[in-house]
Amino acid sequence: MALFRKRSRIHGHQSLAGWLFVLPALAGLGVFLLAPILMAFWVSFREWSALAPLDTSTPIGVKNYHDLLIRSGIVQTDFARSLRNNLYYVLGVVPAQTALAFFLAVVVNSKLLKGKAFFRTAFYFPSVTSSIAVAFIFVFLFSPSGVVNVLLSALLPGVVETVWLNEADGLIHLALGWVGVDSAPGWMGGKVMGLSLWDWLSGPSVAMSTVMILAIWTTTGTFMLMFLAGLQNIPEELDEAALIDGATGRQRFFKVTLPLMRPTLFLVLTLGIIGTWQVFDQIYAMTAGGPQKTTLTPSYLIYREGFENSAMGRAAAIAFILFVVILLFTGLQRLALRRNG
Amino acid sequence: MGTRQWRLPAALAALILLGASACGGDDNQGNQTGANLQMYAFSSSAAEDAALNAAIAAYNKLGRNTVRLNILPEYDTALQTALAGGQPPDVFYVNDNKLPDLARAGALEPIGDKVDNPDDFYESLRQSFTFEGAYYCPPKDFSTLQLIYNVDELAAAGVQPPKTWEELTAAAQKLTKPGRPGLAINPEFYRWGVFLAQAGGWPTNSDVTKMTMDTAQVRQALQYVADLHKSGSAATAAAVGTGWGGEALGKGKAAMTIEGNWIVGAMKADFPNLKYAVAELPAGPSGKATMAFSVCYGVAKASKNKAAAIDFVKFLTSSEQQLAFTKDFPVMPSRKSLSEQWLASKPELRAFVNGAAYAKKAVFIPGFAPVVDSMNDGIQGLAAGDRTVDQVVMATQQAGQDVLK
Repeated sequence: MALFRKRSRIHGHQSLAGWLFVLPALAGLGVFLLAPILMAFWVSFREWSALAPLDTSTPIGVKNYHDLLIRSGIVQTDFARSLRNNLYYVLGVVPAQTALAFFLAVVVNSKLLKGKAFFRTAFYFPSVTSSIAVAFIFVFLFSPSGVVNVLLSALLPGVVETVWLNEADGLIHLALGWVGVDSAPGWMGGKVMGLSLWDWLSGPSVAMSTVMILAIWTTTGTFMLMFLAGLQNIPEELDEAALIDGATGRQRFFKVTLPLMRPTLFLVLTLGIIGTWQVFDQIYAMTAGGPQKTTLTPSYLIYREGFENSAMGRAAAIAFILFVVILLFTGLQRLALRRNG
Repeated sequence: MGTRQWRLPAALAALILLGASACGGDDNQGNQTGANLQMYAFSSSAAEDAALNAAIAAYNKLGRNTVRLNILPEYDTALQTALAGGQPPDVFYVNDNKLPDLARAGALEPIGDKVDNPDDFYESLRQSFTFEGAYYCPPKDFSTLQLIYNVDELAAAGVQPPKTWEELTAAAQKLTKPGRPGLAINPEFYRWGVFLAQAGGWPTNSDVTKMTMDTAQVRQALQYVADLHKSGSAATAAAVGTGWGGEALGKGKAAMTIEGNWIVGAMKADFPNLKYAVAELPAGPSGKATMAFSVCYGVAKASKNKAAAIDFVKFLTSSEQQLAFTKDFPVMPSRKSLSEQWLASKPELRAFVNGAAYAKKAVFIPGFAPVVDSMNDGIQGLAAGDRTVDQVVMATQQAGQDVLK
């Protein structure tokens, strides 16, 4: 490294050549990445219908952010709903896909397994398929007369006729209903961002849970590949050394393999959190935000506000709040991993 | 070697400059002939595509202007992108519920009165495309909601098409079989709204300045439909495993549904053997009522060929073209004078035409879409039985007041 730096100092004019070489890439990034981001940020402080050129928009200060976060009204309530729905989605999907992907990677990586290539391909397959196509298949699977209900009807007593994608009841509300709590206790009437505490604690709706199952199924394969790469990077000698030292299989997994997988785990969790906070296509194809707004997510809300409600400024503001939310969650996750290390 | 590196940024810079220079439009009306016009449309069926293509071919043959048609999937997004970029198509379809937003944004040239014999269009349709006093675009055709029923099932059960709410309750109940409702309705304002109107209620007052959800009429209507669902004699199309009322009827998952003209084309394509008929919706406490939906031919304000575009719209809305357009594609001509001619070949669809006399427009003001969303949310709750009428009325009233003030 030092050698390179010294040389570049001697031949100063080479830095100009260097900049020239990266200029095409920089220009591409600038035009297609930086400029749109800056422009979207600027739009988030304006009122723009997006039905006429940008110069027809009017500056309105922080009103878009104020409407979303502070001023009580339908805009705030819808945004709060979308945050709640997506939060449950993240809390459900990220741990499940990470754990499942790790498990599958360990299975595929095991020396005893025969036909590794087959299993690796089979597990990865859902990730290769188009998300919209898979979403439509799921709509059929979970329709009232679909395979899922047929299977459940065969396994359980009675006939199962759940309309999965049309069930707005939250899982936590349902569980509470079974123990006899059907409506909000008095102390839960308080509202946060226009949504009562009782509504915040609804849990994901049955419809959202269906979308979650789909997401876990399709993303696990990709993350399995990352874990697999991580596992194969661990030198075999370490495992053998631990074996010679008398460590049991379990100890070797938890004391040797798992700590060495921390960087991969961080990568998978980060990508998982970012991906789940941006869920859009499955929602668009399967539920369009319904039933009763229980699958509305910030990303879908951006689409709805920008392209259906002609409020592009507000849509841009949601995008930037979502950006902050993702940063926060990634930061939290990083902190948690570091503390455990 | 250096020139190659510069090509991309140079091309990009050129693009940006071009874009900037193209933005400066002028208010020139352009020539009435010799223009190349671009039209954006969405497709509701193969029949509509064929009708539109035939109309454009006929116009191009006249040799006045040349029209190029783009039929776009994801129509709203594509149109919005074109408008935001300042280069919209000269002529484009405008859905009635999008009109207030487009008019407010200044995207449309008001040309409603520039077509031949403008008073011939149904007044309620002209109102749908009027915003703040300006009549923007002539309706291309329209649809109304009516009651569609399975002829054989009603005959077998000895039920006549219901004429009042009481009869509807009785009929739905009689047609209900275990696990299958008599009536299937999509849980949204654009269906349930007919009951609101039949009870004499509506979400807003007529000039959309005040919310009127919190009224006895609206409560009565919502309670009536909610009770139909609660008793099991009505259900949402989704609850019976279908996407919409037509599919529910076609698959025998319901004996009656509430849909519009589009059901004719869909049934022909998907369930050609089902014997169905159209009846007027039952009258409520305040009489007959339904909702009308329409699409108009908008001319872009930013168009450089407005005169030619108006000439083209004039052609499309002429009696002859309207009749040809609506012949195989079962929407109705928007000109009153054509209704009997249209019915001559489809007498069984008279109920849809009759609806024009008492239909309400389902168009509000810019930015009202979230309120309709909110109401739909409540209606879904009523259909599922997990909300009360009071909750839905108050939530929608509140949501509307936020937008109207």
